Amino acid sequence: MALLEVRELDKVFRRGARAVQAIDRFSLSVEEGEFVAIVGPSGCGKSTFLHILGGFEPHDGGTMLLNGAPVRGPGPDRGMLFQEFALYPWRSVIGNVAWGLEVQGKPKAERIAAAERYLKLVGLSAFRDAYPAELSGGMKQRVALARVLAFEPRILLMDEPFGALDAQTRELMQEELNAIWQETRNTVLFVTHDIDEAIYLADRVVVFTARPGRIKDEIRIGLERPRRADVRKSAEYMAYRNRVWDSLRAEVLKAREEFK
Amino acid sequence: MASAVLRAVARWYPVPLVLAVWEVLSRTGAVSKRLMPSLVEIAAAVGAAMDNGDLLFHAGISLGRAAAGYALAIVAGVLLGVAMARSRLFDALFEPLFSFGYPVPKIALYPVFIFAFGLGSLSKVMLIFLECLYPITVNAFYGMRGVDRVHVWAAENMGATPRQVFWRVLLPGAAPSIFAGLRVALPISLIVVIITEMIGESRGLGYYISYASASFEYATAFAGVAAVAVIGFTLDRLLVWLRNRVIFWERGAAFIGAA
Repeated sequence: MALLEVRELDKVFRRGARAVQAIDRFSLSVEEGEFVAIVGPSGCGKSTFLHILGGFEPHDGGTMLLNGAPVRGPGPDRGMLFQEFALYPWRSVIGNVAWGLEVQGKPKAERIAAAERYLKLVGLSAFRDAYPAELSGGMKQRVALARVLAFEPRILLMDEPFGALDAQTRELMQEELNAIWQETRNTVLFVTHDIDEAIYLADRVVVFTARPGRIKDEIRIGLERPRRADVRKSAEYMAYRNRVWDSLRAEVLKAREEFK
Repeated sequence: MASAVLRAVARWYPVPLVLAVWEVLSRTGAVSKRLMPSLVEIAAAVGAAMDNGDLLFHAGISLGRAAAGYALAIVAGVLLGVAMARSRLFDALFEPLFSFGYPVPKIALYPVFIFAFGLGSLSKVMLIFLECLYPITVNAFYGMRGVDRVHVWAAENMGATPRQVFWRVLLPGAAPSIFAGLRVALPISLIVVIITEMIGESRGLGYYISYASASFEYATAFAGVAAVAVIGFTLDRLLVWLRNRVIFWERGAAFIGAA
C-alpha cells in the first residue's frame, strides 16, 4: 500500500446560500520516497487540498490515509511548508528550527543538535542566531524547510513554497531543494502553478482541472537523477514541458472564463 | 555626525520655537499676561512650588490615581480583548457594549460615578479605568484576531497544544497591537485625572491648576500644566522603551546577505 492514499475527497465552500464545489472526488496515492507535484490553474483548489491534508481545514467527504492510518487534524507526521514562510519573528533562526522539537518535548541538547544539523543541510549555519527580519526571502524559506525537516515528518507538504520569491531566487531554491531531496529522499507533495518547477523537481506531475478540482492528467517524469540545472535545456525536458502545458492550457483558459 | 545634529534639530525645533513665540507674545503684551505669563515667571513659580513641596505632593496624588486606573484597565482590557477574540460567547456578550460605548465620552458619567463611588479617589480611578479600558480592549482584540493564520497552522503542524499556541504564538503575535493600545490609553489616564480633580477636590494637580487659576495666580497654574506635560512625556518615553524591550524583533531589523 502507498504511504499516502487519498480517496474520493470532496470539499465544498459555503457562503450563505451559495455553495462552491472546490474539490470533486479527488483521489491520489503517493509512494514512499516519491516526489509528486500538483499543478493547476489558480483557484483550482490545489492549495485547499494541501490544507485539508495538513489537517487545517475540514473536508466534506472521502478518506485520507497516511501509512494506513486516517488523517485527523494537524500533526507532525505531515510537515507543512507555507508560501508565507510562517517563521516566528520573535524567535532566532535556531529558535525557529528547534521549536517543533521543543513543543514535542525533546530535551534541549537533542533539539539544538538536530536544529544545527538541518541548518547545515540548508546552508545557513552561519545565521543560527539571526532573526527572520534580518533574512532575505530565500533564506527565510530555507529556515522554514530546516524547521520542517527537523521534526522528521513522514511526508512533506509544500504549498507553493517558492511562490513569494523573485524569479532568480526561485530557480536557485529549486536547485537547492533538488540537492537536499537527493540527500534526504523525503516523500514530497508539492503544489505549484509553475510547470518548470514541477517537472524539474518531481517524479510525477499531477494536473488539476479548473474548479472543481479533479485529476485531469498524470505525467511520470523520467528525467535522470540527480538532476542538474542544465537538464532544463534538454529536448527530453522540453517534451515533458509541452506535454504538461498542453494538458494544463485548456484548464487555465477555463478558469479564466469563470472569472469573467 | 552632521546628519545626527540635523536630525536632532529637525526633531526638537518645535520646542524652542513655541517657547520663543510664547515669550514674545507675553513680553510685548500682545496677549494679556494673565493668559500668558512670561516663562521666567512660570519658572519661578515652578521653583517656588518645588521648594514648598506643593507640586510634588499634588503630582504624587494625581500620578497615584492615574496609575491605579490605568493598571486596572490594562489587566481587565487585555483579558477582555483576548477573551472576546478567542470566544464567541465573550464576543457576543461584550461587543455591543464596546460598539455603543466607544464614542460616548465616559467623562459625562462623572456625576454618576461620584454618586456611586464618592468624591474621593475611587470615583476618579474608576472613571480613568473605564476611559482607558476601551482602547486597550479593542487593540488587544484586533491584535489577537490579526495573528497570521499560517503562524497558528505552523505551530499546530509541529504538534503544539492549544495552550502552547496561545502562549507562544498568539500572545507574542498580538503584543505589538496590545502595546499600541497601552500607548493610546496612557495620556487618556492623565487627561481624565486632571479633569476630574478640577471638580470638587482639594488634592491633585487638577485641583492645583484650577485653584491657582481661580486665585489669579496664572504663573502657578502654568507650573501645574508644565508638571502634567513633563509627567506625560516621561511616562510615554518609558512605555516606548519597555515596548522596544518586549517587542525586540520589530526594532533595528537590517537586511543581511541575500539568498
